[in-house]
Amino acid sequence: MASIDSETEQQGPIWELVGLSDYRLPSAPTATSARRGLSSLMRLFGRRQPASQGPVKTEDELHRLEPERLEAIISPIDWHPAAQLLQQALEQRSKLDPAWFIISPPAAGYAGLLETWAAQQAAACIPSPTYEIVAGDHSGWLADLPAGDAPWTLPRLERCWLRHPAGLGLVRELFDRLLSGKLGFGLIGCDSWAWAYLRYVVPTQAVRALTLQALDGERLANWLGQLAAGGPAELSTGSPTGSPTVKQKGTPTVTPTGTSTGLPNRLSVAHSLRPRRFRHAQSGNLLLSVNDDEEIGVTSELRYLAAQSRGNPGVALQLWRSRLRSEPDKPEAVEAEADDESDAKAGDESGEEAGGKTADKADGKAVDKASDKAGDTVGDKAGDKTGDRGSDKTGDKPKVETIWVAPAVDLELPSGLDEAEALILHALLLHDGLPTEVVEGLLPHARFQTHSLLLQLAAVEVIRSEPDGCWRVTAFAYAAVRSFLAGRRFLVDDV
Amino acid sequence: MDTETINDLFRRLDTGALLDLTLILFGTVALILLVQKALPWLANRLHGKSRHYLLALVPLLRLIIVIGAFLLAVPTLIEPSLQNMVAIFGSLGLALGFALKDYASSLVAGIVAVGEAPYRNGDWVQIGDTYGEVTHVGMRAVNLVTPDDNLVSIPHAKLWTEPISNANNGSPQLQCTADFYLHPAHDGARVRELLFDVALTSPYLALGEPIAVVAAEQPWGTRYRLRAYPIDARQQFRFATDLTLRAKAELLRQGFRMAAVPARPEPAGASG
Repeated sequence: MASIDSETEQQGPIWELVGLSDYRLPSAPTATSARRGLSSLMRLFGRRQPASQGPVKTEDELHRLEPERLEAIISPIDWHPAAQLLQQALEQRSKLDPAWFIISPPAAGYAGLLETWAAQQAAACIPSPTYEIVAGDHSGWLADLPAGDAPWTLPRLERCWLRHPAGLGLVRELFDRLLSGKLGFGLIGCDSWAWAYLRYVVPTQAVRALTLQALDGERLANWLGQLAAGGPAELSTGSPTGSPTVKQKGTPTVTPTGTSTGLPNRLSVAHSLRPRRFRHAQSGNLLLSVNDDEEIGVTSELRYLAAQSRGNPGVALQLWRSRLRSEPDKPEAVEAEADDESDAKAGDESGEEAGGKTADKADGKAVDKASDKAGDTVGDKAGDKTGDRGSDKTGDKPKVETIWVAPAVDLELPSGLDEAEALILHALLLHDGLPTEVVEGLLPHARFQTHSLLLQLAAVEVIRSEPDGCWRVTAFAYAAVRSFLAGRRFLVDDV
Repeated sequence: MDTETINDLFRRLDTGALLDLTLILFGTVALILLVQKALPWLANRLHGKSRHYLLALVPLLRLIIVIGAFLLAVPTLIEPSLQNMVAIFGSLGLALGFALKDYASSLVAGIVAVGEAPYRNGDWVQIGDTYGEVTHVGMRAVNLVTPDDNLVSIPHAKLWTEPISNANNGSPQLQCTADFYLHPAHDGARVRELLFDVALTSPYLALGEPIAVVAAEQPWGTRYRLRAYPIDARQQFRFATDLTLRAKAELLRQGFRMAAVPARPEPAGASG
């Protein structure tokens, strides 16, 4: 299946379109997993693992980033490169395919990819039916579907059904029409949980289901590097292999290339060129560096983030954004480029070894060294030098902006969750979120009980009410909720 | 057998032997209590097959502990020769056979129950008129908790005389049935589809397990039986209730009429 290759051979593709059976979950570094496993075991018996050393920056010394600054540091996902990849793949599709399904894990936002594709290709984008249409008369909605040869997209199939006896008719009729060829070619997005359920309702084996390959440590580091550089990766044509190529702005080894393709670039080039370093607040290790000369491999921390988010870009991005911090009195702390090379090398290693070594160092002397250096450099040297950061110059080298990354936290579900909560969480995941009145109607409990449980789950941040009025499982709780439901033998998704 | 001969069978119980016996006794009791508490505690934090396997291990481990304790204690009490063993166990068996016949029968049936496993912890069984979940397989009796939350203790000796109906037989899967009685004049195929969808959309359903709708014509109407499996056997009553209530609501919403009650007798000559 098609993939976007980076310009250099050192970096693998970020987006890759693969069949569901080819989806590979990223694995966490062994040492990190073992340490976290030990911590959770000790917590089970009411003990806490003593910290081997104090953090370089404590949580009290750091502030969460302002939303505007967060937006500037991590720009929103731009689906244009992936949409172009999708189009290239579609150009090679079999004419016999009635539809392709793009399966999206929760919060991954692949519906946005399909909407971007539709805008790029001027294809019809079918809005989702309302719940009243799904459970009632849907003949009008089905009649409005395109019938010609022009491709069209339905980005949210999960909105076209309800787990209710009256809620399956629309999706069944939609499949009947699709498979009979009456609707031309459709590109349909579907949530992975809904897809797992719908295989019991409609002949999903008769259509082609694809997804974007999970972001492993390397892909995630490249992608976060792009986002932190302030702009999306840009496609260029004419690579030797004939496949589209991404010029990755902000990654250590590639020079930014401007906006030749005309893709929207939300931030100024000058801003995006600013070197940024992401340092671990506990160890002081360098995790990510953009627009910078530093050669940084993929750290175990980023590998763990990839595993923690199950390779899901939406979840990974939310987890990453939630961990970014700045020093309150130096919100844009910069550090001189004069750091010696050992600074970076002390904290970060590339390749498989990095996980183990970095993890080991977290408890060992190597980190003390790195921490001291990071602390000295960032806290003192950088702090002193950035007292008047607007005018400070360090030779000809650009100033480096330092962003602190709080330690990863694995959300644990409250111990009292039982069957009633499991039913609610499962219903929300199967439908990619539901409004209160609909979820109350789908579950066997009294409405007031369901409502009360929704509020209780929201209070512990397992779910939240989103602007569209739907309750959804939060990105932070997703992994724990999935594991909770799988442990109780509920149906879970494939990706 | 005179007193001297009997005395010869037994070892002299000095302080050391008594201490050994006491240690064996307390060790056995402690181990059994540990197994009986720890494994169900752990099992109740798990779901599915692992829960059933752990629960089923309890009586087996207890039997192993008891046999181990017995093998340790016997040489302390008697001279372990074949002659002595036959004499002691023969006398013991005779006494038990006459004085504690039923008790001994239940004990033996308890050993058979561990071997043949007609019921294990976590199974849903019917013994006589009692239906419930097996919560404890003891040496003498099996404990069931009924849907009304009553604890019923049934001696293992029932194994010899009563049929044991086991609904899930060591597996977390258990079939549930919901009955519906409809007026005979209706579109049966539509009802079958609707009942199938009711089961398919129940949040308790174990997806991937078969769903069956069985119809039978009766003098007073048509009886439909909807059969499906909940995710966990402990959900069976909630699952059956959910199937019943949602199917009834959907049937009425779509204009199906329930069978009239009381049923009218079949008119003469209508059959055949």
